[in-house]
Amino acid sequence: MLGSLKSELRKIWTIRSTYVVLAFAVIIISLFAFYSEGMRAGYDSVPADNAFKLANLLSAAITNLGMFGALVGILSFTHEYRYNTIMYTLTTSKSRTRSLLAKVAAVSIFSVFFTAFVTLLAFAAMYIGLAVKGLTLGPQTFDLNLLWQVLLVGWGYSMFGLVIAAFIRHQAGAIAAFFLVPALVEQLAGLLLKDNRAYLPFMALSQTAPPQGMTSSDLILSPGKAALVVLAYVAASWLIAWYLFLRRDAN
Amino acid sequence: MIRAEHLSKRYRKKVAVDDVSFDVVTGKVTGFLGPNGAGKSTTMRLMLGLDNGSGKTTYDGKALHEYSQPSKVVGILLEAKAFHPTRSAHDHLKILADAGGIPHSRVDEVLDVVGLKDVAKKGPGKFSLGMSQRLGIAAAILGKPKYLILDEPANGLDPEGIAWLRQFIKDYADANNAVFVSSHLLSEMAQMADNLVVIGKGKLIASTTIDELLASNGGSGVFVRVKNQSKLEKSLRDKNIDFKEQDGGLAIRGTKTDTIGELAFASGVPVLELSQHSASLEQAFFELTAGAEEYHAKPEGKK
Repeated sequence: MLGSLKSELRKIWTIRSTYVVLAFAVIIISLFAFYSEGMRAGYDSVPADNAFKLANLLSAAITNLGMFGALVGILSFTHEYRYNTIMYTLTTSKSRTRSLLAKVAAVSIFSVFFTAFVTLLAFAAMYIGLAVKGLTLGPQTFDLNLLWQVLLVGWGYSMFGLVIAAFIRHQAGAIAAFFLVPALVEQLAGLLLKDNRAYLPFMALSQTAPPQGMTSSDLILSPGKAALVVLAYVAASWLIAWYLFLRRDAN
Repeated sequence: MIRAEHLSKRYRKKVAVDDVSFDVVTGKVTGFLGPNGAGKSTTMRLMLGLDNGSGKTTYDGKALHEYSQPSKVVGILLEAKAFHPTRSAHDHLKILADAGGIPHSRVDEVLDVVGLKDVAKKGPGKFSLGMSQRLGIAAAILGKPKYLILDEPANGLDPEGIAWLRQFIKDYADANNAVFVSSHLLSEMAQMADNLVVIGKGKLIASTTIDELLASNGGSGVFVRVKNQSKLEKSLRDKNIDFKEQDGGLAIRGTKTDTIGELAFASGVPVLELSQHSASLEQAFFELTAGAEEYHAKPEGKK
């Protein structure tokens, strides 16, 4: 299992697209945190003395950029079918279940790295932005629960992306579906479901790390409940993906 | 020994592989022949568990998934371009080594064996088909497996590459391994295979040694031209030897020049020409697979 995991991690780190996605994330988060949260601090819409400034920056960073991290997992999975390396993956491993577990574990490890990378970068960029403007970060209120919430959002996006890739297997199709589900399908479904829309997968994910300072009455789902909904979706969809992975021809 | 038993695969209404069974014997090269669309690649994928069908394949009595490190049992080359184009050849092999529990030092060894050491750090996306085949062969032998399953490994190789591959495959089998190889290059197959498995339209047509196949299909025979042909024909009929008229003489299957020479002498027939003819694998292949082709070409303009 360890060998398969090493192999899957090496697959992620030895292709150009991983670095392209990371570079893209660096550019976006740097601009967003440096300029909007740092340089523009002090404007009405970006109060410099907000006690939740750091916490909200971290949750906004991963909620907005988690999808980019998930792209790496989608590409890693669908490249196998696009370039037919799946035949090596399956014939070097003792079982298909082991291959799939290694993929899930590798993408999970990457998502933790990506989340840490994005949040630390956001914090550094904001800090530099504030320093350039001659400001310092005021006293901050930071609920430690935010750490697991942010990690879960990063991981949740990666798992949703990976499971879509496992269902569809076609690279362009999987990427399109990954963006269309939250942007279109869930929005349309939300019109019908009203408050129950909070139980849709990506909606639940976005509520896992809500902006700090909100009271429970402001939230449809508490972060804990939202996390449970996300975990339930991940578990159920992976059961189906596992079944399909075992049953389908590897092409 | 690899034993494939009752392999079958169906795509909706089309039967791709239909109850195919054969053995791949250790120490031998077993060629796998069949017209386009006969089901060769699907059979190989079934043997490796890549496609879900029925039947089973065992490697020394055990299914592949029963081995803890399958890449040390069987090495595969099913498609030359099965790699990520921007991942270096070296990294591609390291990934396979990690998954198969093979030390990274082996990666450099196999790259050296296939002659790709100088381009190991390059992305194989721009490799020629021949170089890609070499990388595929490197991947196949990475785990020093006892069995190799190779699908059209000579495609795209230059003459030097083909000669190298032929010798490599023969040497590999000689070292108490077994190689199961498909190819459309029948002359190559004739030079390297000991045994042959032939399929057509998904069904097994023959599983035999190459000598037996040549003898029984388009087999070896004798061509004889004599002065008094009708007299020799009578003698042949008396001895129940089949013949047919050909090029002003007689073509006689499954016999030797000695037999016909002695018969002509005994019949008092002066012999003008007597020669032994060996059937080519191509002849035998066409005879065996006649009617089993999935796709037929027609001369241009003919309807």
